[in-house]
Amino acid sequence: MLSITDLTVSYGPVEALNGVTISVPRGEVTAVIGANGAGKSTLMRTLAGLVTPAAGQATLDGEIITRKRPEDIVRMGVALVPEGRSTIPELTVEENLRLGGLWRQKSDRRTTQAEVFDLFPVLAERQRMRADTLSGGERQQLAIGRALMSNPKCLLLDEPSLGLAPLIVTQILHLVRRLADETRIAVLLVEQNAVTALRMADTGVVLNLGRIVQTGPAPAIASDEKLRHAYLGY
Amino acid sequence: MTSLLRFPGARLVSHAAFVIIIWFLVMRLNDSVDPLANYYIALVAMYATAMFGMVILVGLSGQVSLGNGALMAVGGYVFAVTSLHWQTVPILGVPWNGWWSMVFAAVGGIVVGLLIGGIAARLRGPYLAGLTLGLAVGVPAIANRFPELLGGESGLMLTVPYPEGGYAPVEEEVFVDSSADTLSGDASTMAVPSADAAVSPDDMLTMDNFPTTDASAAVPSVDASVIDPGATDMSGVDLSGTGDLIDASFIIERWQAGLAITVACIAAFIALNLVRGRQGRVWRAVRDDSVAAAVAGISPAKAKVSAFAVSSLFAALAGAVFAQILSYVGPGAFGLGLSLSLLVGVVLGGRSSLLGAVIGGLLLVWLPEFVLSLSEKGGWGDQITNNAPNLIYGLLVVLVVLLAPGGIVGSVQMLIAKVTRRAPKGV
Repeated sequence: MLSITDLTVSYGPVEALNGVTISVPRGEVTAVIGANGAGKSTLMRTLAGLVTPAAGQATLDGEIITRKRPEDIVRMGVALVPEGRSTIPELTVEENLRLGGLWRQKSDRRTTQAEVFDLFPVLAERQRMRADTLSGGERQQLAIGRALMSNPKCLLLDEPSLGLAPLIVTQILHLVRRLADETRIAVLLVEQNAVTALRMADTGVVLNLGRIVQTGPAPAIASDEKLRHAYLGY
Repeated sequence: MTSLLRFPGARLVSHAAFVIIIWFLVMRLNDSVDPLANYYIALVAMYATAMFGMVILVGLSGQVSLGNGALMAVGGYVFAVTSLHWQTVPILGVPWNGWWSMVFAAVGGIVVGLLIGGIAARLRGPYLAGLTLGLAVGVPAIANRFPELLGGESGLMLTVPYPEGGYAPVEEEVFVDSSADTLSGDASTMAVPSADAAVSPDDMLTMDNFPTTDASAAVPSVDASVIDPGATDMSGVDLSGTGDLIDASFIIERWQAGLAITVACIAAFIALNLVRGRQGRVWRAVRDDSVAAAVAGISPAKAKVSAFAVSSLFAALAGAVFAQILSYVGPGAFGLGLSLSLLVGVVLGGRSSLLGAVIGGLLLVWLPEFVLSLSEKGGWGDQITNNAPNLIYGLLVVLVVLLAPGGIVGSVQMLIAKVTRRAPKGV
């Protein structure tokens, strides 16, 4: 279980996050939605250790993960799929996957890799091809697969729908849903694409200008018209 | 290559076999050519060693370095100072020899590489280029601050450790003036180059005064002219009858080239394993997307520092070899020109390929010779001849960056990929 308590992050005088509290139980998908500049990416980057928070903390199964180095946080069981996918273009699919679990025992890594191929058959087909020959959707699967290679307890997804066709977005988000159901990983998902995200999430969190406006079951958030108009702009 | 053999360590074995075969072939080639060609082979191998490091640093880890010539200076000076001053190995107490100096040069390179890498990992782009440029200019100048130990502007002469019974201890240096004794043929007697004859890489490359091959064949003391290519009167001077110290069939250039080839092959073996293994993937991941690498559990800072340390190790080994090819170390030999030619060679050859480093080394040695032959045909003046290689380097770099960013090796790979209609493979 990932618990975020009172997390505050500022970039100089600008407060990007202000007292954010979220908990993500295992096997559940929590979608954080909000407009541009709401602090969604900052939240992800802070949890992954790329940004140091000014106050508050986050714990994974009771262990504090904030104010640690990114590579140590990965070892503690938090894996981030960064915005824009960021697969390594020059490496093959398999090499990209291996990067995600370099620090693990070879045998463990093999098992996880087989699981990832089960989950994303397209990666198995393309394992010897360079990552820059993949389509956007395939690359997103590769990025998620690479994150899974660290055998995480908690997966952070930063805008997985960015730049993908609507059909592919639905596919990817369904895969994420399956992932949470089957592996009991806690998934924290950040999305601008609120409709699709809320349709498959368990819990919805609406973030605006660094503050949480509303937390609740995803269907309730999706059907709250006032909320939609005020913060999500549709 | 490794997909055929899948047992633990298969990659290591296949790399070792590959490198040993190359070593054997090049050594055979080395034994069958004349001393002038030996000398060129030595230079190519020396450049290749340094540029393996450049491939790792610039090509794989994406850190531009204008200062690897300075790292070569570290290796060269450590080699020179330890071989001149130390008779026994500290702590171990065993007698000193050239291999120990090489080991110490390598260790010195790694230490300096870690230091600089630690700073460099915090910098990127133009700032990193600025730092390394500062190294290229500043490090050789340190010699001027410690003239007693490092020989100041005129550098240090060193006796090439003759391979009597292996790689024998270095004899104590004897400084003599460059008149009569120069020709005595005694291995420990060396000409001190005058200030203007201080060896610079350009001199070494153009070699306008290198003795004709007939004159130097079977002459053991020809290294005296190697260290002092500015001395025009050396060519054509009869050096026969000087073989009393060592076997007349011993050719110093051949031995130097053998040393350079061996060191280059050792470096190639290390580099192959690093580049094609997990560390190579780590470097490329950090270069392409350091955020993605960090969230995959890789420390970008460690990756950058390790690239610097490895590159510095290779540069130091190359510097130690260079010192032995020249029998001399001096600030002029490791100047900015050397640093820049390393970068030029690696960009031309192909910056993310070890083969590119070898091709770059060939180009760096061959191009000035080619220009020289053009100038002889065209009757160019000295001014043009001396500067033309630099002009051509500059033009080539601009053209390569614009038209073929992968360098020679990258372009060939692209061509093969087009012909076979397959996506180009990673390094």
